[in-house]
Amino acid sequence: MNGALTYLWLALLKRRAFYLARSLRRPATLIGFAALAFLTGILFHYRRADAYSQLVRTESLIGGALLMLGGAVFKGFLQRGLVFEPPDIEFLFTSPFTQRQIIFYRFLPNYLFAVAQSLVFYLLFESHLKHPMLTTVCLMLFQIVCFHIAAGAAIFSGTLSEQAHYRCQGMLLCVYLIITLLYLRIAWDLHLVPSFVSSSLFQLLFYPAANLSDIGNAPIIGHWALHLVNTNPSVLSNVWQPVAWLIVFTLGAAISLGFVLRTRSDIFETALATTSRIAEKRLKVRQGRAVTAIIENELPSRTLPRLPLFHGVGAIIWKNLVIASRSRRDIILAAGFTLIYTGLLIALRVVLHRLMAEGGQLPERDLHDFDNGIACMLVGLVFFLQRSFAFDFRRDGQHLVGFRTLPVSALALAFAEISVPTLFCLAFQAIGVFALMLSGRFEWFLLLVMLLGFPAVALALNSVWNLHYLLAATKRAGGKAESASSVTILMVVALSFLVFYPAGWAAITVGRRVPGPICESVGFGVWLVVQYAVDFCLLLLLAKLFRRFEVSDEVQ
Amino acid sequence: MKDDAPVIQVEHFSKSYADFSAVRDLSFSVGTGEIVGLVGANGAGKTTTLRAITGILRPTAGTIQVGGYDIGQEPIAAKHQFAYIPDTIHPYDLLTVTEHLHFIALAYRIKDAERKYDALLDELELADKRNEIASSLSRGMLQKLSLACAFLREPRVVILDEPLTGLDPRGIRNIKESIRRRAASGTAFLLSSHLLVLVEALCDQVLILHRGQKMAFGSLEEIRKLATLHAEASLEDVFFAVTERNADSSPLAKAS
Repeated sequence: MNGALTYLWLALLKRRAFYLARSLRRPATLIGFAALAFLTGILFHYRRADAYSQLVRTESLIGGALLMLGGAVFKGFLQRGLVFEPPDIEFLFTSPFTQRQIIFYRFLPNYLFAVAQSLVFYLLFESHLKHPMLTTVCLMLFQIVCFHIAAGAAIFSGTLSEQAHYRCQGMLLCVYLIITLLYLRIAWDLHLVPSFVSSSLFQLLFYPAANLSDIGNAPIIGHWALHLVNTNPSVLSNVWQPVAWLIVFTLGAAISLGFVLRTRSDIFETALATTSRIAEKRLKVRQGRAVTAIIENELPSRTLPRLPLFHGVGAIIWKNLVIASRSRRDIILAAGFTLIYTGLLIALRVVLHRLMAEGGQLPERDLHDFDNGIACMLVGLVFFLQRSFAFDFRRDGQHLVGFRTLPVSALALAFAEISVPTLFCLAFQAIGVFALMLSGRFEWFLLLVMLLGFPAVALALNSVWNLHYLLAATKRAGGKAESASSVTILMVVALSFLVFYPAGWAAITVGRRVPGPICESVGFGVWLVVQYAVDFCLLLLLAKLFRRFEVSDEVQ
Repeated sequence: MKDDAPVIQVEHFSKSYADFSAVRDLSFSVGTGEIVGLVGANGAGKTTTLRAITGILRPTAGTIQVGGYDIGQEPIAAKHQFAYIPDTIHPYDLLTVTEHLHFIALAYRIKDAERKYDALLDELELADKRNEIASSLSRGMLQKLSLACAFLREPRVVILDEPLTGLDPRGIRNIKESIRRRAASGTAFLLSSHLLVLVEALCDQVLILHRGQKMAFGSLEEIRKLATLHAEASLEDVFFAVTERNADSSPLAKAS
């Protein structure tokens, strides 16, 4: 590692830490940081709960490792070249550093991230692991291996032609899908592939290629997978085995680093193209512009709507709906994600109902809890979907100056801004509920909970994220065109969980004091009232923030 | 609408940011059909003044009325009176030119808005771009689009920050003619520009700001007299005479 590069990295790290600490003087950052600290505190406080031990079961850890590995390969492969910061191109690429030094410099933030993540893992899961220190170190090394693989894939894919890259993407996706299906079948007994696929007639279609059934039934793979999944943690208590694991992971990290550093391809040209592309994308995101280019310059204009709903502040809703109709890629991606997400929930429900039909006895209460769990997981869909529908302050951030001159109240404008993404989230959730109902009916009470509760959650999440978008937009309007750091995003994520804490706490407290079977209904009622009150407060905050927005730095 | 009041009435307006005073004790008014030019060096307080008039910035002191409505007390009524075109145009990337007009028509509840589209788009040479999305338009075209959005709502006053940036010569002439024609029919204009030739050619009154303070306000002839310059002195001569002679920032005796 070159001394100058070490100095540069340390100086930048120090400066970023300093600015982060200084930014805590701002109320918004302080609230975000407090939310993050609070959420971490809650997670740490309940670290001995049984749910944590489920997360570090061998099956879960292997699943997580598969996700990390797949993510690393795909991320790197799709990047087609290493990503640097734009100043790196100007200063590092033209300076007398070797390619190896620059690649290693590029890995330094990743190593720091791996260390930090492993530390959090150790603090949260230490009590549930037989060898906590060993597992933590292995996780850190595995994370490092994933970073190396991602970089290797990025460099390799940069050397491929457009056509070959496209073909490899498809092949990788197929291989990853097969591995995932295999994992789900062996680890969790989830048979997602329909039985007719393994029929002889169907297999003829794939002749002479190996098919899923062949792979799944191959003795060597079956034995290996069973051995891996059924490994008893007590086996690790032997002295040599922890050492062996450590050696394996250390060697993995060292060898993968060696492979990446020894690459003969020229990284600079592809890195330049990728960095420019990513920088442009970041700029577009920061300015709230569409990331994907519209190919057609000319489009048939929509007719002027006659609905009174779209007059006055409703014009913003109409505008956002038109933009949504032009953002088909975002909608299709969200639909695809919803399909995968609800598909998994449907599979769980189908498996349960199949087992019950085969004679498996499950108490009424457990079945009720299972459906509640499914509903909760469907609520979780909004956390992901919200990020897909950029038809709010995220895109309108650059129009704040114009919006301030609109003859509408700030509260109405704030509500109009979040209404379209909220509606989209609810529509996609509704599709999920209908799809789930195909695999079995829900209790009427649960349906009512979903009908009344989902809008409250969607409103809350959209409000919290829009607070962040609005703050970022005001900063941009004030000339501080910095993109949101990962720490900021983490703070918003923490806040988007904590925003449900008051309602949850109130519901549990009241529910416990009410005797008998109505406790659940009363608890839900309290939750609903408190959550809608919180939503309203968030909307008021959004409106107040919008009203207070000033372009203070552009003094002319 | 309060027709008897000046369209814009600024009284003792000041704006400070922490220790920095951007504008100090500024008073002026814009009457119906008047074209007032706001000139000053970078950092003189032009954009701050315009943004305070439009309600984007809150005054530290003083009052601002638009169309007789206090922008701080009755913001919605006041905002119906003006159209504001900022120095940097940010259109909606994914909306077409016509859809931008639709949006304004809906937001300001303009009746029979579509009947005005053709004339407006012809006037601003946007007729053949009506179905083009904003992201494909040039800087000049975007400027015209924002002018179309402003003119569609037929405001009592149009506030423009650097209105001719990015326009071609024909575009500049067309916009100047549009402004004059609308001013003749009673629309007031308050425009800020560094193009002193434009301000001289277009404006009835000139407000010269220097380091946040009003140095002069009145017609060019009035300011010439106050600055004791000859009758043929251009606005450029007047501007430098006023701002450089008053390096200590003491304003000239007010013309109005």
